[in-house]
Amino acid sequence: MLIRGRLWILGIFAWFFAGGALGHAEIRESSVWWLPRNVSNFGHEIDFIFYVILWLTGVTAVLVFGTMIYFIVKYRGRAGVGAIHSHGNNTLEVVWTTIPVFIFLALAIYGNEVWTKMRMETPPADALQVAVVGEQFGWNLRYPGPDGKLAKMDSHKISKENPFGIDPADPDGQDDFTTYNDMVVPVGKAVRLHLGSKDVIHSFYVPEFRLYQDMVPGRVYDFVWFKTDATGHFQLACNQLCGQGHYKMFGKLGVVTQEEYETWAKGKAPVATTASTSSSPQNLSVANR
Amino acid sequence: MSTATIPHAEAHGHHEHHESTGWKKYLWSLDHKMIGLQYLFGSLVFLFIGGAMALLLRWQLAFPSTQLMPDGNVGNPLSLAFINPQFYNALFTMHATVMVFLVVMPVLVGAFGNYLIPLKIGCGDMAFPLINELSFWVWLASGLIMLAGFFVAGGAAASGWTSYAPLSSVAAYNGTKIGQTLWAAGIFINGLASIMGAFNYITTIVNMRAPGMGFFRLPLAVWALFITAFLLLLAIPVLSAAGAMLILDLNFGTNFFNPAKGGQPLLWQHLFWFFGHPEVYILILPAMGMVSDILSVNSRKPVFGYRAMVYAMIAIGLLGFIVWGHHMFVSGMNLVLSAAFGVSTMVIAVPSAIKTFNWLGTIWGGAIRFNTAMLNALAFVAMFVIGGFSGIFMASTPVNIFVHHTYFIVAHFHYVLFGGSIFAMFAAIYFWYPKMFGRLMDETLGKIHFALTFIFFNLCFFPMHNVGLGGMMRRIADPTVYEHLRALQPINQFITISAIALGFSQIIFLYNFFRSLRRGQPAGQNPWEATTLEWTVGSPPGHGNFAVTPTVYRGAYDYSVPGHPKDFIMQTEPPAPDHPSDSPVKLRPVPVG
Amino acid sequence: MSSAAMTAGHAPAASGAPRFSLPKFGMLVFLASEAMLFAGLIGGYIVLRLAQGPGNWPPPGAPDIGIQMPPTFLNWVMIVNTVILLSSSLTYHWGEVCMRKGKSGVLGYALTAVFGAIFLGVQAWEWLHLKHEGMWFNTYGTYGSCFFTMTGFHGAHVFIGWVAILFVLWRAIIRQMQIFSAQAPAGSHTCEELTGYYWHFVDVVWIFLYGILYVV
Ligand code: HEA
Ligand code: HEA
Ligand code: CUA
Ligand SMILES: [Cu+2]
Repeated sequence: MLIRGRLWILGIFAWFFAGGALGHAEIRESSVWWLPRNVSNFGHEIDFIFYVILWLTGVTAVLVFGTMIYFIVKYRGRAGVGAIHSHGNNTLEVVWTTIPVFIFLALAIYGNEVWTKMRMETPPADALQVAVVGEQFGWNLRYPGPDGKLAKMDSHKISKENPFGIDPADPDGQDDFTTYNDMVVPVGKAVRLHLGSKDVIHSFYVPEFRLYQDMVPGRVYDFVWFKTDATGHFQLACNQLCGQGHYKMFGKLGVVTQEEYETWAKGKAPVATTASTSSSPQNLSVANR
Repeated sequence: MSTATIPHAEAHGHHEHHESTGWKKYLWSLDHKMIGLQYLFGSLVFLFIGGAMALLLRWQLAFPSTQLMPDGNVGNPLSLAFINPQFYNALFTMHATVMVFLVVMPVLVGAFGNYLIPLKIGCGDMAFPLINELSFWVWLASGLIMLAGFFVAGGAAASGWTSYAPLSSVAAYNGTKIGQTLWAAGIFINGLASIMGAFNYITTIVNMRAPGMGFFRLPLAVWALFITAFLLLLAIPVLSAAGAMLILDLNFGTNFFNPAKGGQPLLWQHLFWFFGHPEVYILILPAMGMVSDILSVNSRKPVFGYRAMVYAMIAIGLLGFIVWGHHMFVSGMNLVLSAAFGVSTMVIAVPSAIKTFNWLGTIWGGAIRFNTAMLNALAFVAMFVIGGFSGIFMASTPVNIFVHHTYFIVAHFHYVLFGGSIFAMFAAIYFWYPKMFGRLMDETLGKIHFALTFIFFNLCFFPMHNVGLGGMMRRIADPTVYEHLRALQPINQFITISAIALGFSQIIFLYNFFRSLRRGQPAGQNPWEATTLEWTVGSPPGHGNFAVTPTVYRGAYDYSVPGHPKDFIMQTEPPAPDHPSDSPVKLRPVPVG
Repeated sequence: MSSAAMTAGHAPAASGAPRFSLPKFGMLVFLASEAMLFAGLIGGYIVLRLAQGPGNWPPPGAPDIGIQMPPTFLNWVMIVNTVILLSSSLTYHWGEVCMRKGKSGVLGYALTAVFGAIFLGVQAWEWLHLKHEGMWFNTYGTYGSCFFTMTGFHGAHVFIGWVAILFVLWRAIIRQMQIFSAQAPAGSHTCEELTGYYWHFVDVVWIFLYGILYVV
């Protein structure tokens, strides 16, 4: 118990200072308590709905809790004051059934509109194609070379040796280049993702993009795309429990200007000249731990 | 298994079990009351085990152990080195499994279901006492099997309580082959226990109601347990099937979830959530039912809109089977499905709305008695509403993209599970403790426990909404490895401190619980002046409950009926000649079959 | 108080005996749960099979257990086996009818037990045969997994039912003895009725399994 006592004090201590020590990471100077800034095209609509629901529930909360507290105070049991006798009121029931029905249906339909729009809206033809394949515990990325074309991905071909499930002979693939845990995209340009997984379910999650997509092994997701509207350094996180290294399955994600992107891409050697796989440094299979 | 009751299977002969004595009374009693208590004590133990795991994982989140941090980042001097990532994953997996399958279900369904149903419908015992006792031991076994995972090579299951395949189904991926198998086996066996209970409850409620106890005179607690029993009956077997497939995939090389061999990882998710969503209503419906009764008794008023309450619960039960997809919005399901699940999920919020408003209606105009049970019941309503609101955010598909698998979700389900189910559990314990043990729990200690729990619960779980919106993922062993989460660390530490305080507040409850067994002041037959049948017999009721089968003349909620000397009328009190209007439902023989 | 005194109280008997005795009612409810178990398995099967796309079920190379034209030897075996299982329901029913007439029904129950045994035996033979053909839980992708898991689950249920039937048979034999020794056969019929429900249920499930595993 004495130990506990000390831990407590230390705990509170740490609570005040540890934060300060870790505080100044480059991103998130602001809004520690709230949504991180949004830098993607779809994010705005998502945030908008979020605030709509926030207002709706907020107002309802005030009403519900207001009434509750009012009743609790007003109808506290007092000597001599009895309770009224009422088994209910059907008109009331009808009212407070129908109103929520409409509110909720409206919410559902409106939300679904936005959702379908985001899913149906096809990325512009000139979108930058990027293949992202998760593995325990890291990210394989594959960029198109000068020809702007990615090699064709086939979910059934994906394997340890062939993370992207491509046909090595594929002409489009020769000038592609791959990176590991390092994603860079040009600002203001549409980026279309081809998401896949080598082993278990991972997921592509970037809070600042308001973007989340599971990557279930055995299929390639090609409908996810986004357009950023500000440069910055972010983190690409895996947000689907994928094993004991899940917590640190993240990659650098830089949103840079077109020029910076091109110089970065130039620096990369095409796969044709390198081994087509990039086996990971931190890819520790659970077995050998 | 029913063949067990053969030797005396005449219409109701199987009740002829005699009061067991000595050790048998505590280990192999066929009395529903003793079985209920067995469940109660068993799951209280598990509450502390599950809670202790929660506190450990909270500690890790506040002061991450640094041993596996990349970039040699020097962590916090307070961190516990033994919590490595794999163990962390096992912690939250087992924390959830314990809390859901070994605490909330057995307390609400097992303990109170068993204890209250026969007493409230006016019969001597459950339909199948033997199966009833069996189900308790099977349940206990399932719990021990799951926890045994911690002591086997590789450790306990660590793929989350949702155990998504193929992580859970391939030993090389999860590294806990034995633990995961034990988990699945435990779930399967736990399911057997639930099913035994479920068809026992249904049979009992349908066939053994006392004369005059029409369905619409049942207390809402019984209605809730009745509907819950159906959910158990129909949802659990699907999980059992999935669990069996998981065991086979893990150990016998079947390919159900193995994409390389044509298996479907998403099949697991569909099977699990087909069970999983009804499950969450299994965890809340009995709570709703019991809270409705407690609110009514302590407001000295009939439940507002009794029938609306019943229909709402039935609606929840039915709709609960067609909303499971809302856990899978981001798995890449097609647009038709996501639209359907989105709408059904929003619609299922309506019955919950109805119930909320009727609870408010129930306390409206009352003469409220603020005993500990009532306080917890009121807290239930408030916390459930908050949890429900966060549910609305997630039900909206676009917002779900952003909040999915963040601490926003964690906040949501702790508000409904702890704020809902656990507060209801406390309310129910404070309320029926006198019936169970013949003595009242100490009110002062009770109120202190309530205040501390209420405050620290909110301090602990409300900030989780914020860190969630801040982009903090759930199920990560160490948030500080993410640059954009480091700024949130102070909040995490605050949450952890609140959690520890919350946890230790529960010790007051334990103290009160066990102290009152001996020292509590005698309760007498009907300390709360309630109307339902369990209060017409002694505390604790004798073996067989009722000396003579009660006849029921009125609904369960005749409080403050005008022109009556007392402000409550027992269900067994015949209608006074001058008050023909007394009995809203006219007396009729029990409908059978 | 003596719980015998209680019994008057518990049961709705006070207000007219229920249509079902409690054990029967409970059994029916329990069977609903069992049905959901198989529904889960069958649902999974359908998903996995559709995922394979047309033409890949059974996967190339796997022994085809589906009905051929003209039926193969294996086809005939399973058809006969199915008929046997279904007729076992009839023989069981016959046993019950005789029993209600005050006879022992021993013959019907005995036949049922035999048919049940045959079904299980043939099932076991089919398993071994297919294993010999190289088809097992872990071969031919989900094809093997589904077949053996589903027939395995069903087989386990048949076995449980079969044990119950042995018990029923035993009771019938005793009743027969009593009849020989010119006493009226004693005891209730609940045991027989419960076993009957269960056995018929297991047969119905088999009709579904046979349909999706062998025919469609
Ligand atoms: C007791 C348990 C319980 C209950 C009752 C609920 C109730 C609800 N839940 Fe919750 N849920 C869980 C337990 C529960 N949930 C758990 C454990 C998980 C996580 C599983 C996991 O991944 O580990 C989860 C996850 C979960 C998700 C998936 C999140 C994700 O992973 O992306 C979603 C999405 O739709 C959801 C929605 C809802 C909704 C809409 C309700 C509704 O029923 C709520 C309805 C209630 C109200 C709305 C409040 C009262 C209403 C009013 C006062 C009327 C007025 C209101 C308005 C006009 C807004 N829940
Ligand atoms: C009814 C269900 C229930 C209950 C009551 C709780 C209670 C608590 N949970 Fe629960 N939790 C879940 C269900 C529940 N949880 C589920 C379903 C998940 C999802 C898991 C997954 O992702 O797979 C989860 C996940 C989860 C997480 C997320 C983990 C992660 O994603 O990384 C966290 C983190 O803070 C957490 C914290 C807590 C805390 C602090 C409590 C506190 O309320 C606990 C308070 C403590 C006690 C009530 C007991 C008292 C203990 C002591 C006094 C210590 C002394 C010990 C002994 C004497 C033995 N839980
Ligand atoms: Cu990959 Cu988590
Ligand atoms: Cu749900």
